[in-house]
Amino acid sequence: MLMRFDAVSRAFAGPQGPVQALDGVSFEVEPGAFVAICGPSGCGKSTLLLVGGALLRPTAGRVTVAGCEVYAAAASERRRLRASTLGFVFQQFHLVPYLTVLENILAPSLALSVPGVSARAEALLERFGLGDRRDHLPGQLSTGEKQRAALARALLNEPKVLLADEPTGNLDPANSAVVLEALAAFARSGGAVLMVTHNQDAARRADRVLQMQRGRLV
Amino acid sequence: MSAPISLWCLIRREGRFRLGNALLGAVAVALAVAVWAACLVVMRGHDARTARALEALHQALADETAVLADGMRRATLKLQFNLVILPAGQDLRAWHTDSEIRGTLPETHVEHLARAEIVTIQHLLPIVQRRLFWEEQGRRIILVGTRGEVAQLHSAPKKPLVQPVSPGGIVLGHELHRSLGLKPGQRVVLMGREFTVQRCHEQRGSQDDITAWIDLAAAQELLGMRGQVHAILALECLCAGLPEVEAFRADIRRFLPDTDIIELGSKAFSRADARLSLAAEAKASAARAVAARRDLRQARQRLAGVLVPLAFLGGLVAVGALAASNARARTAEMALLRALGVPSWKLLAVLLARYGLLAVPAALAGCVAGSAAGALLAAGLDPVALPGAVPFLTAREAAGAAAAALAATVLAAWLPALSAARRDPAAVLSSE
Repeated sequence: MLMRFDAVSRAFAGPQGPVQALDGVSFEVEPGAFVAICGPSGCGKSTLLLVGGALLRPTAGRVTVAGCEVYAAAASERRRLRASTLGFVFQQFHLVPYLTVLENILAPSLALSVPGVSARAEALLERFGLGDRRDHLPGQLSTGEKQRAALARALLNEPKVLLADEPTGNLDPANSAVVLEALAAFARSGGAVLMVTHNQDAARRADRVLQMQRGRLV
Repeated sequence: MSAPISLWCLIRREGRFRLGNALLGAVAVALAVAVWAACLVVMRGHDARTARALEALHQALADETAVLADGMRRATLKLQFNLVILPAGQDLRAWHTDSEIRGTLPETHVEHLARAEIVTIQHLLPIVQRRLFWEEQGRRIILVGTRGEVAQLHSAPKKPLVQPVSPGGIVLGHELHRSLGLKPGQRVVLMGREFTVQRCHEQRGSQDDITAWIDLAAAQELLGMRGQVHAILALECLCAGLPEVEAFRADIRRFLPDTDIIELGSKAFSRADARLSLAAEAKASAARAVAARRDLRQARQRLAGVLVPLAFLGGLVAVGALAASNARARTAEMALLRALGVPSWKLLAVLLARYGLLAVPAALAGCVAGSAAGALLAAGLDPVALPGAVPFLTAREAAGAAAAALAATVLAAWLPALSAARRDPAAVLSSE
């Protein structure tokens, strides 16, 4: 078991009282699993991903990643966990605009420099068809290239779990297929993928689909 | 093979990305430092110019004082020949304009005065004096007959102030002996009597230059004034002030009631008074100049006291605002990097470095520009020329300014940068 959510709840303060984004969510993700979380907007999918990504402390429950109880650990330990064990892919890519494609892919090495990181970055460039774009800035890339660069960045430190928030939300079908194939390949290599999407086609690429509604798994 | 990205690389790339923002911050720092440097240089220029002006003023005052002191000394020396005793009713206008004395005094007055025990009188000199035409030489001259000084009977003999003319001798003023080509030892005829040139005076620039001096008895005989004199010079050796001269004058009148007493020294006193007034005015003028420079310095210091804190505060606010603007623009990247596990201190360093790295060169540029502007301003404001080196900032001061600018810049950018670096990445990423 790589990731475990145990009765996780998260509430936010709203104008008309607390809003329960997550309400007693429990599930586990095994190595090699490609899990899609589907549901309507506002059902808590992204919140679940942030909580699982050691970025948002739940108001109740426990989250365990690779044997580490995330929110019982110190902040520095959570930071190390994000750098070494978790990889993130966002719908908006979040590439650093003043770094080249290669430098963006290498950005996680600012947090955790592991041996062979440069070679892996070069390999990822080639793998995602960005070899001729290595010195380009994100502003010079197409949308698909941006997402591929973001995916390469997420894979640089060889994470155990990949968290993807609507990774195909801004992509055309061809680029979506590339990204989804990359996620599936990561799962096949022994990692776990937790993908939030409301795209049913994307969800069909996962081997397990969790439906959420009003903060709960249904 | 590519190298892993370093913090320094991130700093450089981030700094160049919004270069305008960073440069504006540098300009704000440079301006603040330039204002400080300019004020400092203006004040130093003022001080240097003041020192130079005062030095020149004091030198001029010292020179003037020396001249006045010399004049005073000369005037005081003349006060020693300060009284002439004339027959009563003398036409002073004639005496002043023509050196003519109409009446006469008995020569015995000299002995009376010598016995009078007036202690301030050191020397007495009876004279006859007449402006006449020297027929043998075809010249108008002033003929003075003198017998030398009459000894004071109540006191020890003094060394004579005036060398007497020996009988048969003649002493000639400069103009006379020069134009007539006469030299000591030569013989000349005056009013039918032969004299031997005893001395020839140097030029004095006065009536002395056209005066001929002979023995008193000979003069009395030539002028038909046997036993009579025109005047008695009372030569006072002591340096007397005006009140003492009045007392002295009263003493003489008591013994010689039929005389008028003219104080030769009154002109000297006037000159002395004028010189004293000039000296006092020069000192007052110097004091006014010092006070004016001091007032000007205080006014400039007050202005600098307002300008420098304003510039410093303006620089702080500008850098703070620019840092806040940049931090807002960098929010998503900072959140992403934090999500990737990059520690917040590295992000803080990135956000601060863009201003901190430029602060030092900006401060140094500000020092140079401010010093130059200050020097120009000081030269424009001040009419006093400063020939030496312009008092720019020292290297130590420039280094201090750079260090202070760095610290102030980091301080100004600290809060916005810290806020951005520590902002909850979940909140940012979920809102994007």
